[in-house]
Amino acid sequence: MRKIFTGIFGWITGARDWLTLLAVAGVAAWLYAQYATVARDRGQLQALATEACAAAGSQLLPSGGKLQVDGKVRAARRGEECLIEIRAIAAFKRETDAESAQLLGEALQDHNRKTEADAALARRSADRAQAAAAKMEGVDAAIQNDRVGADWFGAVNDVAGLRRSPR
Amino acid sequence: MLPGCAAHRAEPLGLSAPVVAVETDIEPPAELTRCPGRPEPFPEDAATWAVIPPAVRAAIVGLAAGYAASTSQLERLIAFETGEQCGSPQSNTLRRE
Repeated sequence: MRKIFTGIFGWITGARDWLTLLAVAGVAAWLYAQYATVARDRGQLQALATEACAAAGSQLLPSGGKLQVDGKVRAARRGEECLIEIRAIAAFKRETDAESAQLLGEALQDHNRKTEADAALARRSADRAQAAAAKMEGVDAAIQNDRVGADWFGAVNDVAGLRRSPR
Repeated sequence: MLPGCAAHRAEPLGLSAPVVAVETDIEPPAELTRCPGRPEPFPEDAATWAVIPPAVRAAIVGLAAGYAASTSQLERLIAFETGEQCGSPQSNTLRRE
């Protein structure tokens, strides 16, 4: 075994220049492959960001000459306008949902209140109608010779809900 | 490597439009929500009398009952829509007894 190691070591020492060149070339190739992967990833993300900003109604690259205030006035960087627009859209959606829920809740409460009030009115008018109908039946049964007078007219007034004429 | 050659995302699926509630203030025309007036009642003095056959009596009573039902329903509808009861000072009335 020792002889094989000695032989290999001797060969490496002899071919030092070529091996150094190969090692450097290998590292360069690996670095290039890494760069290519990163560049492709970056290209995909850039395309996605451009589409997203266009969908939000803004654009990724700064529209020329626009100045922003972040405590100081400066030109917009890439993607900043887009981010502001997206945040505004999300805030609008949140607020709209909250306000819609509140409006619907108020409308439902209003409807319930009105329905209750109407139920009370309906009860009152039903009671009145029933009492008037009962009285009308009694008066009508007491009519003789088809001759109707003041009490019959009064009962009809009650049935119709008309107030009696003052007498 | 070139941004234009990158894969394009498909359209997002399953996002429905958000429900937006808007407050509307649609009121019925003023003419429709006018409180009904009352006609003059039958006279009830002792000197007034008439001879009315039973069928005609029944028709008169039927008319009176139908009138009362229609009017009370209309007043209830007006109260539901406008929130004001007929006969109260602020309701839309022309003539009320």
